[in-house]
Amino acid sequence: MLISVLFIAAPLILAAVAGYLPFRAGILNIGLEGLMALGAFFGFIAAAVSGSWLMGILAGSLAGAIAATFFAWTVLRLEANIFLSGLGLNLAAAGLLGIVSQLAFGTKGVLRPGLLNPAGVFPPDHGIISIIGAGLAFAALMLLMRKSRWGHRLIAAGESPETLKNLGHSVKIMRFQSLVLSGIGCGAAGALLALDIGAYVPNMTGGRGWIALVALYIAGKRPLGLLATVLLFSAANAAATVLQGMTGIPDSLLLASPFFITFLGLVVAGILRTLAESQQRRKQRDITPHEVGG
Amino acid sequence: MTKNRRIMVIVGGILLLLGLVLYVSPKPLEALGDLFTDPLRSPFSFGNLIATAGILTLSGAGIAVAMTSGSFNLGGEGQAYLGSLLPVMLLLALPGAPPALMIPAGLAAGAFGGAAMGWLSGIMREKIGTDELISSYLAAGAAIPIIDYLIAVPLRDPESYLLSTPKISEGFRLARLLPPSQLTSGILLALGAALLWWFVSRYTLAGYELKISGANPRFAALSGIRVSLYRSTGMTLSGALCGLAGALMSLGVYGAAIQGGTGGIGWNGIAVALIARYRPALILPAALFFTYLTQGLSAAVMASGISSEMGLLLQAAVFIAITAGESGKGE
Repeated sequence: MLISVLFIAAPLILAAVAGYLPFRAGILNIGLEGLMALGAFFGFIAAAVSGSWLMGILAGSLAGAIAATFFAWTVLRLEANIFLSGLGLNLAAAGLLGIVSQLAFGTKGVLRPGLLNPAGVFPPDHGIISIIGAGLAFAALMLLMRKSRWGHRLIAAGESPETLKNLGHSVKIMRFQSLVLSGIGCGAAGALLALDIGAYVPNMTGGRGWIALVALYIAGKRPLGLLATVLLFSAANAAATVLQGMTGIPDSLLLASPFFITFLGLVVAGILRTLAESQQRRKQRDITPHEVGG
Repeated sequence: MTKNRRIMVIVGGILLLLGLVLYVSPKPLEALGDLFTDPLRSPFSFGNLIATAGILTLSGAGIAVAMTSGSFNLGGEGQAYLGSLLPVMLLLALPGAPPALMIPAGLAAGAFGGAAMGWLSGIMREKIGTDELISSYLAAGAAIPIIDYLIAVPLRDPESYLLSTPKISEGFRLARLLPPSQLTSGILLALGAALLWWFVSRYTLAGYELKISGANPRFAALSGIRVSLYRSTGMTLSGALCGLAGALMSLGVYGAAIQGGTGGIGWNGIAVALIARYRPALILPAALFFTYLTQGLSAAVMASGISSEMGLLLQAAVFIAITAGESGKGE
């Protein structure tokens, strides 16, 4: 059970780590979903052609990095609206993948390894490498944000761009780097999805980019909170899958459950935050008259 | 710099899409011809152009209302889908009722479905501070597979080869204005709604307060305007308009709720609202322009089987190009 939760969580953790960097640099990357889709498609192709999972991950990361560079160019250089440009990235990824798939393979449907590799060998089960990879990525994130100069500059780019500028660093370059890194992470996360199944299925990201985004939104700036939220979502999704098997709820309804669970998470987090804030206010109100009286 | 750069970006996007059309077409010149003339070639395609433009006027106005109030409605897809299902369920349940009563009731049911979804996101922002952009997207993401299932399994018409509910009786359908095209009397509703939104935003106090709430929340709050109320009202209205757009699809175009039948209404609505730059008077021309482009593009690449993907690319190009030079928002 724990292992299966971690398997579900691994790509999500990668995507969340990827989203965290630009988020700290002051840019919410709504295009996580599209970057993951690109990583899944090109990661699958590379893995099927080469027969190596590492090539798949590398190709997925490369595809993500290229797309993220384009996204960064629209946001930083053309100064397009961040939200809309990110949505544009998601739509463009969906459109491009359909077109490329149709032109190259004559189908917009599922791609199997046999299509690219007559022998049909696909990288064998990569085992717990995805879990280790996600763990390493998260550890690297903690280290970067806590201990490195680069991490502190990144935080400055988000919290106080003026200060960073006065210290002689470019805010745009920090943001650009964070976006490209987020492309690499999301691309790798997408490639993991394709490697897990051993095929490419359209829409196989199934909202995971958005789930990572919601986890970011809920956890805010705390990396550990981010990890906990992602694990919680993954556990809930694993539980939903098990429940579905036991109760015979139709498969098609299962597609709704990640969105449903994330939505509930959003509501609960919102209520908790609102309660905490009102309690704080009440406390402050209690103290003030007393202090005035004393 | 911004103006020139924006024009450059838009021209670049158009050239990119044209290049793609030429690349995928076996007969590039004919494809180019299709691109510009197809929507006007026959009464049939012209009728479809006007019908789709009407539907996108509704969802575009919906997105623009939310934007104007300071909210971001990303759930138009789900709102329109629910808006297409509810009226069909209502009309199938009461096949004998008088159409004069039931058609408005059906449209109202569609608007209600969308409004409920929009309201949910609006009230969440107002009460517990959750970002309506994310919550509306997630609500739609959860609703769409559920509606897919409802149409495909419990409500499915076993006689139909499509994944579709049974057809509503002919008397309940909106009147066709230019058969066999999709143009129905629903276009009047779209025109009416666009006109009403224009009038409200220009000549009424509520419209003024809504605009101020979105444009300058601090100023509005200091002036005694209930900003959060206007914001969530904006989301509710936005959902209602998207739901109405979905109802026009099911009651007018299909006469049934079809799986995936309203796909694209929400995203296209955002594109239309952007082209109009959220201005009420420009929504209708923007919807016409955008539909013309979509229809032409899809005709041009019809042979290659990638029409819907070209539509997605067009939306993406609009999202990126129209807002170029607008940074600072959303940071």
